[in-house]
Amino acid sequence: MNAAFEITSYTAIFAMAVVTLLLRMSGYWIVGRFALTPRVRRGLEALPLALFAATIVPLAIKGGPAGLIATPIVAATMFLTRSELLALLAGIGAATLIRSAGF
Amino acid sequence: MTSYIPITMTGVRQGVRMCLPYVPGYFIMGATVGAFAAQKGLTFTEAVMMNAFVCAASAQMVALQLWTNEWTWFHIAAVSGVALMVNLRFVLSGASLRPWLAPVPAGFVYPVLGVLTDPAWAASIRYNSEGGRDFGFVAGASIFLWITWIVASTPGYFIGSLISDPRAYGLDLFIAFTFAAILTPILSRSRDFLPAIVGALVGVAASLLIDGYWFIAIGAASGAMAAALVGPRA
Repeated sequence: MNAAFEITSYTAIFAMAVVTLLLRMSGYWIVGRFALTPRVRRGLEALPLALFAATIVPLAIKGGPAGLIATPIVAATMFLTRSELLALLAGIGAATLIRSAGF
Repeated sequence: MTSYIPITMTGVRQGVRMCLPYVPGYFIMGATVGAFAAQKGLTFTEAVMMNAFVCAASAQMVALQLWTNEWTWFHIAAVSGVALMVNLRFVLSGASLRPWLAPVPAGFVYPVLGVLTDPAWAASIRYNSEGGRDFGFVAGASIFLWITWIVASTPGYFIGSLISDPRAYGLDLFIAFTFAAILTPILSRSRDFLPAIVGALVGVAASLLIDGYWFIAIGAASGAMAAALVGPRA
């Protein structure tokens, strides 16, 4: 066996890039193969809300006290100021404070 | 039924503008990922290529933990598996854009989907929920944040050791914060909370039962399915 192909870091980066690219494109492609019945459409319309919730809540819980306190602070800041920048800064600030206090 | 979807520079500019608030966070996150890549022995070229072609901070962080100098196909399978698990949510975010973007030529949509990130997707969903239909917005937001990510993670490679513990700055919560900020205005307008409640409950259960990042896709798919099955409510 001659080593015509050597596996390197580049192989790893290439493999990750291909997998990620396929994931980014496949959902859109798959939905196009199906007829958009009212049921499918309802599911797709609900998908963003479900995806937001399924990301935010478990991550906040995994984040411990900082996650459980800082995440609602982000939402509250956003609700009051309508500024994403302020909301993110408030969240990072709160999380940094809570974590530096040892929680 | 086909409907017309505009593609304008106004939309592109609006997409870029709505993503500006994420730039500072991108630089902090980029510093972390860049530093971790340097720590793990990636060359500068490798680090830049990874940022440009994978462009998914959480997947990169997890995969870098498995990085090695002695590559075998087993290792390749492991990092590919990480990319699959952590990025599975992109299947769902891409799917959710289809009803809106279906009339746009595939040659425009797929390249943009190729660099779609969480904040760009979320900003697009918010824009669409407020009545926006311009594909330029999605393109502007996605491409702008893709370039920002490449630029932001580059200095990190050299100076990122300043951020030794990403958790200390709440960076493990960055996606949660981004989504919470974008979700708030959407949620205050919506009337049907079923997909969010099911998504959150199933997501939490899955995160407790299954190691890794599967919980996002499992929770999101469950929430969407619940909405599809239950049917329209008054």
